[in-house]
Amino acid sequence: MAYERIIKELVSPNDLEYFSTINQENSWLNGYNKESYLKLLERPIPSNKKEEWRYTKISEAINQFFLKAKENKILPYEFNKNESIDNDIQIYFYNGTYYHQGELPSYITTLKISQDHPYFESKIYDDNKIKDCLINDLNTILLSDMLSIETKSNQKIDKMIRIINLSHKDSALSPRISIKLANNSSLKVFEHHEASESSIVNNNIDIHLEENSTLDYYKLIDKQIHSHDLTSQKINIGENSRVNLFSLDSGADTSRSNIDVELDGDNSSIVINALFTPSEALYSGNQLKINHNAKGTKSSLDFRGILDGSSAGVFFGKVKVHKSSSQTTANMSNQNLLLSDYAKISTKPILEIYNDDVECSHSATSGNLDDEKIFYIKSRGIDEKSAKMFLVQSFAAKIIDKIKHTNMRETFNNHLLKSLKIK
Amino acid sequence: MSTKKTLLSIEDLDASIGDKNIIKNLNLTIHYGETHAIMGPNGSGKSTLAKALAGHPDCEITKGSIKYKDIDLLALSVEERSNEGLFLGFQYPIEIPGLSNSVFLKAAINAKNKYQELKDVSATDFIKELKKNADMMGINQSFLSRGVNEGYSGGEKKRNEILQMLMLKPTLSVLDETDSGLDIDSMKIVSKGINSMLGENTSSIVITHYERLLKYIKPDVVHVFHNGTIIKSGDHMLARELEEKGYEWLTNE
Repeated sequence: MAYERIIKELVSPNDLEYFSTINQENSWLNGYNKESYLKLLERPIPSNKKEEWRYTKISEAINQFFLKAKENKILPYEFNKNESIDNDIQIYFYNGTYYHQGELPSYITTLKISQDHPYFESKIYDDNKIKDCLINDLNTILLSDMLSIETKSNQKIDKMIRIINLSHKDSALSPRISIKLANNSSLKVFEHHEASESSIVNNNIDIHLEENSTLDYYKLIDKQIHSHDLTSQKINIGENSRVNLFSLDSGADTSRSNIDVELDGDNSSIVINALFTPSEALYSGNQLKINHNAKGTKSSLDFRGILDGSSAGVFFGKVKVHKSSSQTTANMSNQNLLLSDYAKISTKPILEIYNDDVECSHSATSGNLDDEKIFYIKSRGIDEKSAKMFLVQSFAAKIIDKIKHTNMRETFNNHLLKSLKIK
Repeated sequence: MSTKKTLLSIEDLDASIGDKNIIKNLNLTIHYGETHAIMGPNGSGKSTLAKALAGHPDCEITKGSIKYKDIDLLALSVEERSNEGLFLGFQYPIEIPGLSNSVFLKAAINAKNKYQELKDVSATDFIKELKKNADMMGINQSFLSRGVNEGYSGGEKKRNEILQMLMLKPTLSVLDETDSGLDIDSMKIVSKGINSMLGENTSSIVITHYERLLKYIKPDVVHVFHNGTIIKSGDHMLARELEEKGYEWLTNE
């Protein structure tokens, strides 16, 4: 076997020395920071040759992480508040701390290292045990606050909880979010990564649903310039529970989303509808691993990429139906629209099925805008630029139109239009 | 000789698609208020003429000229031709899933208004007009919010083409086999739409295989197209003769 380079080789001796002495203050978290740091150094550098990591600038992201973690500046608490959508609850992540106005409802807690030691620690401990990945390490090394949302049994929460990541220039951030839905509860979350410049964000998100619960999760990543936005998201779904996930990713130098879903309970389901729209030289990578671990489970993935400039996109989806998971339905589709001759896409939808009593499908297509459609629209008096815009929008509408929440659909549509620039 | 004003004048036109020269030395003059039927066997170049008029990028004009409203049509872009009042009814209307019919039509009308330096159409005027014309074309209201031609049957697509024509109010309509694939009821509806457009200031070119459409739409002139050019012209009696005898008696000459 060929020699695999490890991450330690990416770090300069100066940085190695610097990080070995970091976190000398006596905090319970130091042990976790250090453990993750040492684990990270020994990890192999993800190879671009593997489909999962194709086109990523992961080495550059790791370099940037060390550079920015060292110089992480704390800025004054100063930013513009967003307009409220349906009277939502807004929580900002800024300088490594969660902020909010007024009192938070009892089901939301912002955990701080200094104040919430035992509870916080138990969460980190559990989390790090089940999540063994590079993004988790990066997150833990710089961990500061954690946001925890936990519903009670039978609690239906109508208000949208909006979590807004604000990253200032040259910052390294490690947001960590834990969401737990107890039996028969429902929750709506909107995670928004606002546009940033020259930052690196390592998101670690854990979602757990007990029985008969529903989570609607909306995720919006604005264009991240000279930035790396990495997410590791783990979702466990219990009996008769359902997660609806919508996402729109406008890309970053590295925008990387790893979503692991465990359909643990009978008749649990996940629906993911996603758009990724990198332009210029940006990148958007989507890795999904869906495990059907119980009977009657359903997964439906619909990913659409719109790629312009010299951007690159990756879809890597792996749906695994375990032996005991009869009456499973799994549909996976990835369609891509390449708006330029220089844009690239790598797509790999994989099904691994160990049960006969299943209904599964997977498909992937990639193509350019259809000249006959452009001609048809132009023949009705509409100029070429608008004609192309219509076609791109109509391609995206197949995802956007699935958002039932009117204001969220509008929000997504507005962000989509902003991110698309048709020549 | 007619004293009527000329709307379209095609002179010595050659047009090719790829390496193949399809339209050969075509001459055709259409006055305001006239309906011309172009008939001819498959592969005679009828659809290529429609493409040439609309400015399809695959269709290259290698010789001759087309004057429309006294301007050089060939110098105009596809969208400018439409905004100048030229409408092409497609033989195979294109499906655009995800783009709603009404959004598309409104954008088309506003593009034309903008070109003519007029204000955008008001929402109420637009809806009123759309409802009136959709009713005439037997198109259900629910179709209007669906994707353009998305999942429509052949007949529905053709009726939708005529609906677009009614909304855009063209000066010259070029209808490329609008009757193909229509049952008799749809044919009547489509003909009604086309007839409602005819007047002193509009003209149309109806391209068709069969005489049956011409029972509903009375052409002023019937042309027979063969090998990329007009080989015979006459009045509507010529169409009847073609229906009886076929094309061979002309094409074998």
